[in-house]
Amino acid sequence: MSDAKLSLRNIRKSFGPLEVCKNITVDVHKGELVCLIGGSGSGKSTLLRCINLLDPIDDGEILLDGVDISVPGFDPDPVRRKIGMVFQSFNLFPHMTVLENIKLAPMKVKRMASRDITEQAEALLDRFGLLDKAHVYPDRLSGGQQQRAAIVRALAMEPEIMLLDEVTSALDPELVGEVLDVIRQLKAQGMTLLLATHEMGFAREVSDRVCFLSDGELLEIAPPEKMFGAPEHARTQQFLERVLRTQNLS
Amino acid sequence: MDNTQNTARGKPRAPTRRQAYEQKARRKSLLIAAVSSAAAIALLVVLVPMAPGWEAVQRSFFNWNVLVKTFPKLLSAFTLDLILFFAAAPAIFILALVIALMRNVTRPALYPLKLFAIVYIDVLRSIPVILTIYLIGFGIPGLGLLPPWNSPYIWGSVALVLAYSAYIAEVFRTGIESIHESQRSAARSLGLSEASMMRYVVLPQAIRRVVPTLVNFLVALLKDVALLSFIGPVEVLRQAGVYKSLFANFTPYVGAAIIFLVATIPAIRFADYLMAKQNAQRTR
Ligand SMILES: Nc1ncnc2c1ncn2[C@@H]1O[C@H](COP(=O)(O)OP(=O)(O)OP(=O)(O)O)[C@@H](O)[C@H]1O
Ligand SMILES: [Mg+2]
Repeated sequence: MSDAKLSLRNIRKSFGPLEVCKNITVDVHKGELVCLIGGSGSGKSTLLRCINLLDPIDDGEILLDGVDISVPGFDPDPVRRKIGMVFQSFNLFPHMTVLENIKLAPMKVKRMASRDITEQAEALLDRFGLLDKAHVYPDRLSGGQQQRAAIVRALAMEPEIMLLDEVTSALDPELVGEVLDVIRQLKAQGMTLLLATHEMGFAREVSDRVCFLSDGELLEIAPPEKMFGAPEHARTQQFLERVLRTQNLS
Repeated sequence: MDNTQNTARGKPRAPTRRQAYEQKARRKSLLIAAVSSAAAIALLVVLVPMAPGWEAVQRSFFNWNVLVKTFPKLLSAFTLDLILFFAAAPAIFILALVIALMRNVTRPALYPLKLFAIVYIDVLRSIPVILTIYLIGFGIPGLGLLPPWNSPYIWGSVALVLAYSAYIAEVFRTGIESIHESQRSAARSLGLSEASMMRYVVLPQAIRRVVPTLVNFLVALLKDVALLSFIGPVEVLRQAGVYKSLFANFTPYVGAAIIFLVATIPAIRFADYLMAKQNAQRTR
């Protein structure tokens, strides 16, 4: 086997007649940051949900540290402990404060003592500039603070890899930066990251490799300089031209 | 004079133009409401006694002497309603929650539970509450049970619990289903088991959402406790019926109605308040 942290082999996934993942194969190595880009409906979210076993795949293998976790009947809970996931929106539990949100899974899943996890959670909140929001309910936070809190909540489970699904796309432009900073920090600490994003400038700056998905197909995998500088496929070129024109970047 | 609220906060501030305008508008609409209500009531007071049968109605429904004589006893009979209510309500709550959770199971091995919940809810919701009370309240003691197990108090309450738990299970189920799928995804992605997800993430939110509906059902329950009078317990309605025969006068029924009004209106207002609060939160 390869030394990949996460390895997707010939993943297929359909919703009824609609093929959403068509034979997707990609490896993510330890400490690597891989970005998924592609148009709306190209299958980025579905792929991430499949990796976290929230949706079952139809065919192929998902290997985590070389172990096939996609075997039907495989217990998903221990796997999800190793994989942190943050969604586009509605992440936090609205009836709990930020601190309670963070403590829930460590206490109920890892059976950690409340005091230990409180200390750890406060340290994390402090690191991401949210300590003063610990006892606040999510509806009192800005969108950017909510997403940062959701990332901290996932981190509190000490995952080995993080899946981030367009964590900035529901945010006002001026709030995007603070969330991207958090992702940079995670990368700097050696976290393995797989993220779907529309932020092309960010993907270009921070990723080790970029995957371009189009209609459920993984058309191209390349380092960012190549992907954004000289993409191979005509469809990749079209997509990037269209997106970069609207985002005023490049 | 009318900006005491502002001065009280230590920082005297004259009301802004908008505040002054709104205050004036509020006073005006209050005045209009008061005047028109007073006019309507005055009209009723003048017109109703002009009806030809008013004298007779007043004698048999609004007899002050009868009311004074019977009201204390009615009130003490009402404590039985309250006892039955407070015994039934928690049982209903728990049973309804259990049935709702059974209705929601997805694991095939547990399908019999789901089937049971569906049948339970369908059957008990389709039968009028009073029929359920008759069937269980007369039927089960009729099996020849020994005291205290042949008591109509017990089996009447059981009937109420069964009927209401079916309705409230549906309330819980809609609450559970109203929780956005992304909340479940978020909980699962943290590694929470299905049971923990239900208990810590879904149910607390679902129950909060249905509290106003629950309060309305509790009001209905308090009134429906009176249905038990048909199978024996001498609660307030039955007591009023006894007095009606004794005095050959309907005033005790009016007395019972007054007791129910006083007991339920605050709860109804409270439910309205909760509902308004939730709507305000959701539109924020
Ligand atoms: N649960 C589902 N049932 C049926 N179809 C689905 C489901 N989830 C996603 N799809 C479909 O699968 C396709 C891929 O959706 P997906 O959410 O993965 O796209 P995406 O790349 O994340 O798009 P976006 O950038 O808009 O988030 C879409 O056509 C979508 O309609
Ligand atoms: Mg998506």
